[in-house]
Amino acid sequence: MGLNPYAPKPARIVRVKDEAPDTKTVTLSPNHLGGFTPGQFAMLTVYGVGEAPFSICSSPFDKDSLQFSIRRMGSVTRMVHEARVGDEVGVRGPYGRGWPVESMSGRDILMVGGGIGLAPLRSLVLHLLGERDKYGEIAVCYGARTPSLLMYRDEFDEWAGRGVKLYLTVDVGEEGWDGSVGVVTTILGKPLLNKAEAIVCTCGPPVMIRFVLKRLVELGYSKENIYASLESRMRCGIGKCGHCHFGGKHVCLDGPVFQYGEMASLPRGISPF
Amino acid sequence: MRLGSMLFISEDGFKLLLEELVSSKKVIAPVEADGFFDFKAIKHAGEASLDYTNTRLPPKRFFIPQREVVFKHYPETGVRQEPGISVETVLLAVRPCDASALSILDNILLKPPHPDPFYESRRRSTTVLSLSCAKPGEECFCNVFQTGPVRGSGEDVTLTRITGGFLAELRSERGRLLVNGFRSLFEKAVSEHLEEYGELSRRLTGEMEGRIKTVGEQLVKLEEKLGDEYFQQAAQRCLECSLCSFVCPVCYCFDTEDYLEKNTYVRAKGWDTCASPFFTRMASGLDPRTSRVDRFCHRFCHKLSRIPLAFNAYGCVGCGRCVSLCPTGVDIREVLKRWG
Repeated sequence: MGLNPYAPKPARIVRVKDEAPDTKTVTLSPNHLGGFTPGQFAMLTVYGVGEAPFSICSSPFDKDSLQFSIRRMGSVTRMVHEARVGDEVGVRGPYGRGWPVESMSGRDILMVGGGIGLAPLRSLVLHLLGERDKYGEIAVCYGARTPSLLMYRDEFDEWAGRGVKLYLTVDVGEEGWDGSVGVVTTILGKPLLNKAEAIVCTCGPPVMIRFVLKRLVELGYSKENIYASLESRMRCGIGKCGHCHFGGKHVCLDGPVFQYGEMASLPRGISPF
Repeated sequence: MRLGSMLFISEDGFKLLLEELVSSKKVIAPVEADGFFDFKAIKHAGEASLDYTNTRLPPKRFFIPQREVVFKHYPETGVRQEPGISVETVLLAVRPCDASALSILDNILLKPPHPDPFYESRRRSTTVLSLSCAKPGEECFCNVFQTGPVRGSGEDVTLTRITGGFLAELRSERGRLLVNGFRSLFEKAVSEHLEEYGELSRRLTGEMEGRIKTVGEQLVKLEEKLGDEYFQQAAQRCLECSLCSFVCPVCYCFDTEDYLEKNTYVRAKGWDTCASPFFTRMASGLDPRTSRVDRFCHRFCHKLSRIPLAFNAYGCVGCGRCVSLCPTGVDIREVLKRWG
């Protein structure tokens, strides 16, 4: 029998960080995945409980560990939230098609995130910063419901220091918040990029993606340069279980990152349009 | 004997062959019980019943069990894989439609870079001997997809009953090897045999021709017809009971379940269906396919448009089981008649 693609490899939780009130970032070691493209995902197993797909949010240059930002949602995520440093989980991957990093050289790059949708974009930010000279302007527009739900806040200063222009907004302000208030589409015009050439990568709730795509086109970004990461229920991650099959595309194989035109031909429901 | 060779085996020769196979390999054959025919692993040649229209269930479960353990994790010692079953097996007297379903499943489940090793080990160890239909069932429409009634795809040897015995067509290297092992039981087919075969083939094809015309190119554009009133109304009949998927020789979707069993973590995989309202629902409650109409249409589009676009073979073999067993009369033939 060949390799068993359904069997994850064990890894230890070496760090747990409270990222937001409902979200933790766990660091796993060893990194069985080896290399991966930012935007790819892995299947994470809580032994005896279940398995679910998660975007890898760490740097592809980190060969020793892997990070996932996990929002408390169902049975698997609840158990991850209850896990402690030293606990064992299972990992398999990397799966799917990530962000189009090969076509980013020499171009301006805009990332648009909503809520926990920043997770696969963080991996891209860290990838780009790892070879900063290869790229033009790098901008991130990021929105969350409230300031305390903004993820990776403690890293923003470092990102900015290394040449990432960061634009933040929240739906509802909190005490001490003097930044922008409004949905993420209200700040999309702020980054001054070469819009015709810039590559745009977005991830967030489906309704956010829909309005972001519309606004990006209005602002003059080129459809062929726009990509979004979509979400689906999955059981296998390798195109066999059928759960993420929509209109001839498997989110696990053909995505999770889709180009604008590809999304337009997906069936209603999974298509952001 | 070359691939494509037509051989003849007498009635007595076939009995001997069956006895030899049963004594040396695992043989799965149609067995009659309680008025139905179903595939079972047989111990004696006499258990096999070859006079049947079709089995109640396809032989799918011998390749994709309804439920199977796919890995175990022992917390103390690490991961242990469940070994594949690789007993040399003969699937005997399967109808051409069901054999064709296996070749469709091969396209999907053996597709690199991640072939399903459990399915793969069973397929690689199984020789498929089909038996041409003598009379098509009432709900059969294999003629539409050229998956029967005499020969389909996915067979290693196609057997056809003719006067005094069977005609055997060698369809694959695996089939050629098996027949070679029993060379003395086979003789070269003569023109009388081939004429009878040709006649049977024409008669059966003619009998089915009036049912549904052969499908054309436009079926692959089925997705564009989903707004049609037909789908809106037909979907209302669907109870989402999953029966059509479970009796389908091609449906392969699965769910997984993780659990703890005596200090061992286990993952099992089991049949699932896109008709289920939980099939695409995520833990967050978001669901990209919320309506019954969309689920209903997805099943037909996957089989009749998406699989053909990807693999150049339809995801339906016309066995008619979903038609005859659906409790509310949902009928894929209606889709074929309208847009085929």
